[in-house]
Amino acid sequence: MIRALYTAATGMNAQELNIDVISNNLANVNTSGYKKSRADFQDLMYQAVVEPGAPTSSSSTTSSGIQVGLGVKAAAVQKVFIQGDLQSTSNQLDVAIEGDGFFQVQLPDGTTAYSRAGAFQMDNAGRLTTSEGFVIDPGVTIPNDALAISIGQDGTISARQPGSSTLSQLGQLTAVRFPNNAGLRATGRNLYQETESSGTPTQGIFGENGYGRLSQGFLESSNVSVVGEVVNMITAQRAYEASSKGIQTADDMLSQAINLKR
Amino acid sequence: MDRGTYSAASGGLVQLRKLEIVNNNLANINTPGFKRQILLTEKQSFESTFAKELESTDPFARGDHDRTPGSTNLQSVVDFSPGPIKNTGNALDVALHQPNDFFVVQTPEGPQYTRAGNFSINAKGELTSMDGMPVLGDGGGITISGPGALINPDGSVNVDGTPVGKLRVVRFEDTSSLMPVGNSRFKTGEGAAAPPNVEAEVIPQSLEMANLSVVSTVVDLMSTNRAFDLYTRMATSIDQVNQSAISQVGRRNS
Repeated sequence: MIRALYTAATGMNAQELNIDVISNNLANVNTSGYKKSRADFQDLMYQAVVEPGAPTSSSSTTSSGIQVGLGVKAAAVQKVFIQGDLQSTSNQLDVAIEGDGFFQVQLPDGTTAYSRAGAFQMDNAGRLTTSEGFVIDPGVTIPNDALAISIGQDGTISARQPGSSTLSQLGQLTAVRFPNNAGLRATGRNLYQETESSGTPTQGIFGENGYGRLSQGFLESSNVSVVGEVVNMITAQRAYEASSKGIQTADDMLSQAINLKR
Repeated sequence: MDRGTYSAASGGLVQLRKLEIVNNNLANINTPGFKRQILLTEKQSFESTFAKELESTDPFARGDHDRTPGSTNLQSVVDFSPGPIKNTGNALDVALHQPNDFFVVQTPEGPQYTRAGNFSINAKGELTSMDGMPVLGDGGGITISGPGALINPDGSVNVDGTPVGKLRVVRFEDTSSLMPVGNSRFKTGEGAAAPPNVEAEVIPQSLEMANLSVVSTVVDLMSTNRAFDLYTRMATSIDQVNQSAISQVGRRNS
């Protein structure tokens, strides 16, 4: 009896996590470069109340016994890296990745993080940074007097300086890919870090060998679909509600059993 | 004591067991690859009991002394009907086409079978289930070393266009030998023959969700509750009858 109560409670816990994840997705519906998360569930262990194959008489056995499951657990919350829509911004430092790949970002503590948010800016030294101010790796310095900055499909950054009619090349953005994007650790601020499950990063050139190509003047918008998330939210809420009914029913039956004794 | 009380109690106990199973189904309503369980009972029919009564020629014999009252021989069985397929867009998600097909997962307790196709990759680059157990391909595990993994409808896995393996899919003609072990997996009984491999037919970037609906499960809950209600009422009524028998039968009118 008490088992039924706890089983239903695991269902409520799981749906709570599900709603947490969905809410975070919905909150980031306008965050450029954001990738939605998804909670994955697995059933918990089964308790054999009657072992399968237990004898029911001297000549017969049960075929499947009675196996009572103990509920559900969250197995993982993973990122889903499907492409977000490209949004035109006409800003010359906005770059979107069309396809697989990440930018490399140098964090202040010296470690490397990866990002798909291409809303770049320049710091006071003219270095290309993320909107948070973290320096893009490899570093590209844009002269103060640059008139027009061009970022090619392959990540080549060039600028035209006063008195010159041609563009001079300043550097090139490095593209990075992982065996398993879903295994990356999301650290917030649109950044991801390498984990055992993501595999080791391989570096390459944007637009080549499966690496996505870049589009200047565009931002990759969040890949959260409001309709999809709201539908997920409805199912999660109903599942939560249903599990709560499971608890109520268990409670009801327990009270009826107790009230047998008048 | 009256046999009716025990029959009612036995019926009530079945409902308690059923509630545990229904609650487990409910908790797993969003678990990919989950298969709902059903509790089967063998109840005694009126006909068989009545026949036994007629059989006894002795008018004073109660021909049903040797039977267990109420429901007997409970069994939980797994309903392997397919669940709805949800498109996720995730390259490492796959759903199986045929209802009796399973992926094979290598666990410390031997191979186990699953329909939950939400795979991941571990530190060694092996394709694994969500809890890190290697998923088997045609020749052992499948190692995804580089970026750009893709699973094709025939179960073959490509990394940047280069084939690296093919998902092993087995088919159980008779799924009744499969027992749930948790983690969305099933195992066969001791010494059971290994199921035959079949040509994989998968739906890429999709997941099979649990094969139950909120509505039918909540209806199960309600019917369990009402049935339990009925049995407790039955026990109470029998108790009342006994009480009147004790207190009223043989009372002299003064």
